[in-house]
Amino acid sequence: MSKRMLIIITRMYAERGKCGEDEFCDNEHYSTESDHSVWHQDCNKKHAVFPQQVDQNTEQAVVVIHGYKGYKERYPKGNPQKVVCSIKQAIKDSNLELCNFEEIGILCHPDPYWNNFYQTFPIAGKKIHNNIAWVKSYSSRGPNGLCLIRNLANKAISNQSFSDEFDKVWNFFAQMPSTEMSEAIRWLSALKHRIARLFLSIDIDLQGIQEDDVNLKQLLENKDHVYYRQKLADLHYLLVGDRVKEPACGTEVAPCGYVKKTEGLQPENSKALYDVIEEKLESESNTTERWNRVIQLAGLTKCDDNFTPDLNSPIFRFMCLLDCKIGKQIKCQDVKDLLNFSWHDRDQKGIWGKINSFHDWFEELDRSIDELREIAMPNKGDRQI
Amino acid sequence: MENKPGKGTVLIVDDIEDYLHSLRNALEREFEVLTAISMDEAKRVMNEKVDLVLLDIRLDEDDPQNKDGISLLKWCKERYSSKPVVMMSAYRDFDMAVDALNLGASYFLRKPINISELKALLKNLIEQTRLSEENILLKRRLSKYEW
Repeated sequence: MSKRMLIIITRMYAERGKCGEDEFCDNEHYSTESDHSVWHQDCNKKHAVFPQQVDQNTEQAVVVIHGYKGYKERYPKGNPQKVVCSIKQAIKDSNLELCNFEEIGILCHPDPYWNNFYQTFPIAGKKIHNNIAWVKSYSSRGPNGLCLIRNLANKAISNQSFSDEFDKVWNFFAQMPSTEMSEAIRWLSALKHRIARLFLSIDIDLQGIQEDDVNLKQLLENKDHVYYRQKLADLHYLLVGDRVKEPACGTEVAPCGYVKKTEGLQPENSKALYDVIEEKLESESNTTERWNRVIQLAGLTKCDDNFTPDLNSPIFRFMCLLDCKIGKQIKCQDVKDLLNFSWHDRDQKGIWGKINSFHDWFEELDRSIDELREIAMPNKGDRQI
Repeated sequence: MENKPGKGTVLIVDDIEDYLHSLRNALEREFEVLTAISMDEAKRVMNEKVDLVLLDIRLDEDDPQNKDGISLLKWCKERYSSKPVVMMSAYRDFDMAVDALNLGASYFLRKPINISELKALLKNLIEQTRLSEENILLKRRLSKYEW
């Protein structure tokens, strides 16, 4: 087996020595519910090396660097270059030779909101030495990874052999998805919440009508006459961003025309799902067919690099049907029309199925986005979202 | 809001206002429904007459790591240990579901929710709790006659 070094930068947004936050230092005097103390070092130390005597024959070494420095830094917090300097300094002060180790892994514990750090540190970290095999992050919210680090720390600080624990940490994080992939997972989770916001209440309202608990007339009262189509337009924007082009025959206010998205739906320069697919997931197998399924369900058709809403798609026609009832006299037949609405469709494997209700459609869309998310998910991992 | 006798009382906590409104409409024929949009509001609204809490795990859209629902679950279980709490989430998060169940949640529902299944679940849980409380009361009365 090759000689390996693990460099661990502890919680970077903790205040130095602060009870319950700083996982590098010794918190034995404290007993709090959220005691993160892991390495039990003096809080004024900058780093620690395990085993304490490292020489040319050492097979596995752990360098733990006190990561408090990100705390109170002005923008940009968690400056990657400063972290790189800390690593180099720790290596130098410990008289370690990186070239003695064939594989070096770096683990850091940044603030989950340092988005820029997640992107830039892996690049900067890999430049430290040719033998850097991977740069990953861990989190106290991903209990599996932290638990393995704790086991390693327990052995290391009591001067016991930690070969098995080292291997477990190494294998776990080496197999974790890259930071870029983690970002895709995080983004897809946020997207799911936004889509939930768009359609959850419609779903419950329509089920309420079916159960006879909700009156359609009351439901449609005080709604704008494009309310439902606008929800669909918002979904399209979340999926493909500015690439959505109005269909030639669609006018903004025609009874069954296309409606523009809500103004200010997303902050400017926000990514759409399409961007994330292109940047992070395109190379993964099965992405294309799963993505095609999502846009098919959303009622979009691809046209070169743009997407056009399909005014004949079942979901568009359904939303249109709802909009057409707004402000009108509601008859029994209207309720029947809504509840009997169903469509046959073909999934990504080409199998025809029947979607029987809006609820079925919503579940299918949700499942399809989950499948995209699962491409980015680790088999077993330190889930940070 | 005063709780009506006879109907089970459900407190729904979710950060999506439209969703709260829709759930209230769909459930209020069969349940007395109280709603709260945040953890703080839920703590203010929660009382002894609430029979069940239906609680979203993430109560802040802008924070993907928000787990206010889990904190609120702990709070409910500390103060109202016998009240069933049903957790819901739009995420397929196995770890979080296990956490919630370990902390005493009675059930974990994934959004989108099927409303007829939800109603059946709420009725069953409320009935189970009532039977369990009645059982304790009867045992206490019986113990007076033991010799």
